[in-house]
Amino acid sequence: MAEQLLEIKDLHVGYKTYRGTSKVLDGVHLTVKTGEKVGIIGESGCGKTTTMKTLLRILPTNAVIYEGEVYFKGKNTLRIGKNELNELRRKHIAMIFQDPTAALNPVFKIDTQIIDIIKSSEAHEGKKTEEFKAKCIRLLKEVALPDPERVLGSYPFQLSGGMKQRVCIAMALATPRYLLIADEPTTNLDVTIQDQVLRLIKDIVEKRKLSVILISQALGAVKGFVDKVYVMYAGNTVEVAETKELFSNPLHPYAKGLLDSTPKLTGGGFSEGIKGRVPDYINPPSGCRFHPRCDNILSRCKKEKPPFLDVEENHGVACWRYYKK
Amino acid sequence: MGETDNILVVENLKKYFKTTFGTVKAVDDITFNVRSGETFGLVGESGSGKSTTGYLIMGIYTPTSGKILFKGRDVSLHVLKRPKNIKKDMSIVFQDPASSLNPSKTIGDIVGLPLKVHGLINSSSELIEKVAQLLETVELSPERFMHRRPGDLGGGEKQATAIARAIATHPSFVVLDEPTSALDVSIQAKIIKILMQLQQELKLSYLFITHDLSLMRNVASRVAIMYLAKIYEYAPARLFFHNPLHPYTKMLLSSVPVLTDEEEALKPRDVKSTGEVSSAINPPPGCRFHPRCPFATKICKVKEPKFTMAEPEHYVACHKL
Amino acid sequence: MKKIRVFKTIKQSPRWESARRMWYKFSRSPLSMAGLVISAACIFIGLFAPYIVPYPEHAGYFSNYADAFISPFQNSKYPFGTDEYGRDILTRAMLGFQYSLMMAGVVLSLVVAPGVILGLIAGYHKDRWIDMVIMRISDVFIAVPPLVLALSICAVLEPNIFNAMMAVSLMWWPWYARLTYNVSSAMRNEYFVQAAEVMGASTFHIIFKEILPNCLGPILTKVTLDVGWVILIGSALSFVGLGAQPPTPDLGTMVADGGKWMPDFWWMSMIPALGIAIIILAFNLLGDGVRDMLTE
Repeated sequence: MAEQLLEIKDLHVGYKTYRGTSKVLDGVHLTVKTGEKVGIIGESGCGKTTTMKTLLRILPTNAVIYEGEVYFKGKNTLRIGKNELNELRRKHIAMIFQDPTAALNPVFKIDTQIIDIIKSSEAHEGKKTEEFKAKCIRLLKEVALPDPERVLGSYPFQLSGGMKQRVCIAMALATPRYLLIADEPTTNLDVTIQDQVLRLIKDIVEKRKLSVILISQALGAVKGFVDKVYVMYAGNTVEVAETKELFSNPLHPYAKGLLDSTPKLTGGGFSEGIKGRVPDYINPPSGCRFHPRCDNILSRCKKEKPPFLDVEENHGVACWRYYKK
Repeated sequence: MGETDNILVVENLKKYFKTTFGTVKAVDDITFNVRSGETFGLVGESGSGKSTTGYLIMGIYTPTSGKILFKGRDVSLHVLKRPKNIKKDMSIVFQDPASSLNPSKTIGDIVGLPLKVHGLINSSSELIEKVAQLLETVELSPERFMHRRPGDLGGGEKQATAIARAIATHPSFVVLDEPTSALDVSIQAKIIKILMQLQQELKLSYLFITHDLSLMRNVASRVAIMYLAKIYEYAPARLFFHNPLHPYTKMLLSSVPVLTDEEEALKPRDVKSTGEVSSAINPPPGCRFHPRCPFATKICKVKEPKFTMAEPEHYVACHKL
Repeated sequence: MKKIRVFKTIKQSPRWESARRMWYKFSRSPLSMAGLVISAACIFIGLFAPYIVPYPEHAGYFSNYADAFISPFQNSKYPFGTDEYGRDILTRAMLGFQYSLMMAGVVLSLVVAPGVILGLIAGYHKDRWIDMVIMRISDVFIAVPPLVLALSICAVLEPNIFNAMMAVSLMWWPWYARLTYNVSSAMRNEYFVQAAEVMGASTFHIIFKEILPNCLGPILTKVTLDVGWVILIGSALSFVGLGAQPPTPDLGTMVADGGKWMPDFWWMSMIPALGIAIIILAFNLLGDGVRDMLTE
């Protein structure tokens, strides 16, 4: 029986700006069990990265957490102290970011950066430089980087995008972790490299039995990878289902619209997108945040926000159309 | 290759850049043509030279050698030397919507500039009218957007502005350089719809450059694939996707993340993605794909393959065939 | 045919949007606001000094030996004390502000436009011969230590405030050329400049209507900070006797003259020196605020 590793309940987060408070997250729900692979799909601005930043408490200074709880291994991460937070960041959760060039420090060589991570996360008294170096080489071999010695002695600018992202993956996995968060890890890479990197992450994750949260806009990338998919829109979790179920039977109109807009390799055209635009978070729409863009709304949709409930076996959605009340 | 009505012909085009590290061969002897009214797709990954090809056609770069013929006229010059009526007839939509619009100007100014440059309007009220019309064709409401600055717009709206600017002078040919790569998928759908509608209404010919094969399948009528500055296969879209012949085409197709089982079935099984693109300064000798090709033989490392016609309209450059 | 008249009313809102956003950013920093207020006060004093000083006659040659050497903060008649001729220090300092700000105003008016234009031209034609010519000439002027250049010019010509301004202008323009060059040459390869070229816009249009508006931010910041620096250099020239001549109430001259009475009659040097410090500090804070306001 897999235990609950991460649980995010009804998270509300906003940012203070000159025009007012921008209420980005408006009730985010997420659960990840040990060893489970979870995907989050949603377009830019929907709050996926904000949610992950809240989990790791790396939000900018003008962010405000209004409500909600984030439990990691039973502890509420929003309330833990500095020491426990450091432990969380150094030993429990690892994150891979979208832009590997920005994630690596340009003025340090790769070996320095990897060794820094190893040093900060485990007891290293008595360990010598050679041992660290050997570990680095093992790590780079694990991420299928040819010629690890050369890579270790290079600066980030001397490496290609795919190699840099593999280095970031190696850094994320340098020490044992419970959870790996991959925030659009392959969006900036070529398609053939994307494929290789995703396969690599999948192999490593399965070998080490890690839990993963994969965030991506590329629906196909998510499909081949995760067990369960969450769909986010405008700071809300709007649907969750097992991968196969979500892609064959999406319930929420946004999820349907998203899948219809994706071009298919078999041709046949694709839809005209979803009408309207992403809402202004300072003055969000009342009730369900998707209602201005939805084709068949009920009168209730404008007034009340739909709760996020299971309407079928393991298939949750936040939409008034599916509640039998 | 049909001779009927080619709006653009590219012959043996080369572009080499001299840098401190060596000569970068960005485009190395490519030949293709775009027929009037069609959408010709150019697909490839980073380092393939597809964007450089688009810039060469527009005159942003001057060719090192080779010819570019637009409506039969040789226009292989830098854009500053091209005659004005050519500049009026060709336009480009860039990849990054944010930097293709001047952040200090309003949308009205940006879209109105080509009209002013080519003297297509006689008064400022006529300018406002025409700009409003253009904004409406790209589904941007003039009241809301005329006086906004690009910084206030979302990615899709910025790209729509860039499209409005590109068609302002009623050109016959538009280069679309990854027009939707920076956009979310639902907004991409909107922009593509607008582009297709415009193509029909204004009888435009498009050179559509992208790395997204699923997108290409749905917009292009003919597709060419580029790898390290050379074209290796080109064919009508249906043949390209249902019967890919070149190993790189197959590798690229097999790497595409897809959603449905039908798409999965379409992906080639015999080539899996491996390796990385080599440097364009010292490309591999012979066939440039040979270091990553599972079928590479001795001749591939030595001799560059020539184009052969595998089936009508379907050309491949590969020693295996 | 839809009526387009609605534009005139909508025009107000979005146009001022960015200005409002920038003001919000600026006003949140107390130091920037302090800089703004003090700079505004200095400019006010500089503009209206002759009308608001208590003793306008103390500006030039004047003597009232009965009231000489009064120390400051003693009485309300001469709040900052008097000098060896009995002239009110406060009056003379305020008039000194006028001279300082006038120098800053003149120098910057002469220097900004030519420097920016040259920088734009060089930036647009980056790596071609005109770039080399313009930037190497400006490099020559930058390479010479500024005070040395100003001193040599003033030493050759008659030392007066006008020549001091000319000297400072001559060594100041290359900084604007260089700043504009850096900003515009980076911008030159942006897509929106390519787009303008591709559509056939003239070079004049591209340089002045596409590139220049985006350079104004750093230029404005530099102008604001430069007010302080020009005043400092100008005061340094007056201090060594090459700028304003006595009895002109220039802050630098006053510091120099009061130097021989140190330390007993400290206020004769210190008050004008404090004046210089305040004006420079104010414009620096303002300039920092402007820079923060314009960067995202």
